[in-house]
Amino acid sequence: MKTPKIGPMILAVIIVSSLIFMPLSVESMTISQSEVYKASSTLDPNIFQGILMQRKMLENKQYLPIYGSSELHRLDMYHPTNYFQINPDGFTPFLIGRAGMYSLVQFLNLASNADLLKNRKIVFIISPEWFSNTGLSESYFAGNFSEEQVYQFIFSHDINPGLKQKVAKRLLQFNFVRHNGTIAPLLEKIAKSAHISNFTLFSASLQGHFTSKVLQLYDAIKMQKVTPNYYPSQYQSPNKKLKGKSWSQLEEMAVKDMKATSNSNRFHINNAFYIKQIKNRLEHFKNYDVHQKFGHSPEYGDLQLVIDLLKEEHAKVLFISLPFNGSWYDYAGVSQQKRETCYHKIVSEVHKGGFQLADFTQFDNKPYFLEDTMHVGPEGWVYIDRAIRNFYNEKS
Amino acid sequence: MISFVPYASFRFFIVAGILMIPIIVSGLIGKRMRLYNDFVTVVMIFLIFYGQPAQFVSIIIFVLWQTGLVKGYLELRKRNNRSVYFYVATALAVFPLFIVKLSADVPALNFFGFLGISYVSFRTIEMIMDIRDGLIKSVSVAEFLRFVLFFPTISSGPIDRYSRFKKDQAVVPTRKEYKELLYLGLNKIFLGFLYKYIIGYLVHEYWMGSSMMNGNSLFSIWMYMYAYSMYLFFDFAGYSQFAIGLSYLMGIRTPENFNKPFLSRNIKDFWNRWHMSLSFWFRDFIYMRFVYTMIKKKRLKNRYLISDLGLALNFMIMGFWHGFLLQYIIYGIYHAVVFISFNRFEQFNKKHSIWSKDNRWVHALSVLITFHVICFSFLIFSGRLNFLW
Repeated sequence: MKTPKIGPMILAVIIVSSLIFMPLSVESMTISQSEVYKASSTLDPNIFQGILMQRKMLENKQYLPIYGSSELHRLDMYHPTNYFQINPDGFTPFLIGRAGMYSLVQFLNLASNADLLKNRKIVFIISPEWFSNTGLSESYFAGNFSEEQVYQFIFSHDINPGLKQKVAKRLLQFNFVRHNGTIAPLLEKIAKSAHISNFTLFSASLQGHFTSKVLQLYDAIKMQKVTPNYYPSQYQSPNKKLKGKSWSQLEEMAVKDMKATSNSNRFHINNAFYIKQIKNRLEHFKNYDVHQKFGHSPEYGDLQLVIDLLKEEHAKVLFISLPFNGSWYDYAGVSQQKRETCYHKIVSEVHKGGFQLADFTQFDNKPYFLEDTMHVGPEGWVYIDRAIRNFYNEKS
Repeated sequence: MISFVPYASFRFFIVAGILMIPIIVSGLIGKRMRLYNDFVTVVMIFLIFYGQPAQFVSIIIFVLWQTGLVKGYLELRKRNNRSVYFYVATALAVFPLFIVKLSADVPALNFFGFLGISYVSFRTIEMIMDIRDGLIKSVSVAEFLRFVLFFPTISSGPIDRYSRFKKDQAVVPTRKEYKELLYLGLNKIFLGFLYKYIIGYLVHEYWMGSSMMNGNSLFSIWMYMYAYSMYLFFDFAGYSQFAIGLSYLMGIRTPENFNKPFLSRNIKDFWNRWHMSLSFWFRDFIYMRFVYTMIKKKRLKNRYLISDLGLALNFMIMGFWHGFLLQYIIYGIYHAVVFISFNRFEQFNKKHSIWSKDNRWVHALSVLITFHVICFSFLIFSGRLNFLW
């Protein structure tokens, strides 16, 4: 028999365990500052699915995070990322959002690094389309769901138990969450909604901690190299002609750009988009959203969760409320009255939370703020840039 | 549902590891707790399959079917060794596997099947062959189930033989022997981690997954060929190390599957080094049986021709066994052609000695050529060339 050599096996176990159980702080040290800078505008979904890059970003006051959804991908030259490159003001916008990232998804993003939110300036863009009858759908949530973040939330001590309970209850309303054998019992425990046996809880918590560490290791590996995730057609590079222009000059430029590209229809929707997606099916869209009320939506509750969290953690937040494209939604069957109800509810929710709101809903019935039925276009970005700049320069 | 595919998750290793502790402890004091071993088998089989009810039901039906078949054929064989009983029993033993393989082409048959049926079928077919040859004279249901449901190798082999397995079951290793088995077993499991989860993973992620592999240029396909071959080896050899290592911990010396296959100096050498438990199974139960029957019944005179036909049959069946898909069948034909051609070349070389065997440069060249011939067969196997047909 060969002389047994146990040493290498023990060493292997030690190496693997120390990789897996490496503390979050050590893992985040592996990400270089230049990668964080790159990540600020890549919109790589792995950033929003993870914890580490956002942690690194929140630690560095150079970055101003903007939480939002699909509009962040409209990277034209007026987009904050481009605008503040040409007209620097001491900060770099860091974009966190893609289609389907409603309040609850952003809640998990924010909660994962709740300990870093104190006195942190952040921007949060609210889209009125989120407030549909059903709010965040099962499929949108599943597509943007991050197991890593949910474990972080579950095991976090930085979040008030009352809020934690509310969030756990909300998460359990989704089928795919309820069917996750490890996450569900842990959430049930927090939600106090069902009796969970000690054994189940013990094994779920053991497995949860372990899975969570493995996912963090993956996170660290993925964050070594982020890749851009937007269509080239939605991207313009920063443009020098924006340098040193006053806000009214910029607005004029933006409107001029918009006019030329949205003159084919009465909704002021971008021509290319209109011709490709709408023109031939216009009849089909008549009153197609008529069943939507926008007055009652689970999304109001989800937004409240975000507000509660940010208030509790003493974050400094600028909420931005976007308008609907009024003329389009008139046609689609969502009346002005319904839209106004939605706007008012958002305003009162944000103000009750004691946060600032840049309310652009007065652009509901004015053209050019949006470039299609719902996405911010050049003029919209100019207004948003201005609001962000004012917010950033405020004495805190 | 929680996945419990053997050797595919931390969960599997942790649960298996915990269940192994009593086995290891008793092994180290030179004992074997049969009842506990059986308990572990039941628990593991349950965990592997309960997530997929269809598979769970399939394996129960399969086991009942094969038990009835083996026991039934054994009884018949005792009374009368008629060939027709043997052929019918073999056909019936192959039948469930045939259904599963056919489901690749006929989706309506998807209701039946479970992970590992391809491999478990070998165990029972071999038993029927051995019963026919009089090598197995009695089988108890318990022994049969222990063999067929031996969980470390249930999903993808290696393919053990009944008599060999039974001997390991009967003879409890001494303390000293078990200590060695334990050490070798653990070593193999760690080697498995290195092969499957470090090398295999990296090859898959960064070589096969690199953008260099995109498109159907000659270069990208050529690179893919190497990458896939490496991945196939490290993934499967890693798996085999786990299966053999875990068997060792249970005191069963499951046979090896690989012996540095990419260093083979010719195709014959390759099939003695690659997926050995499978190729030996085919050699013994397809090729040899065919050749033996042909010679005995004097259907053909030319023994080279018999051998060639045996090889063709051997590799054709192996191709079909991988699945009823064109890529696997072409893979089988390819290997048959290569193997037969090599035999011809060897005969030719014996007379004319154009290819010396002792020169190390010639040896290196042989290895290089064989390596490429093999990698090309894996390229066919991978389905990467499917766009061609």
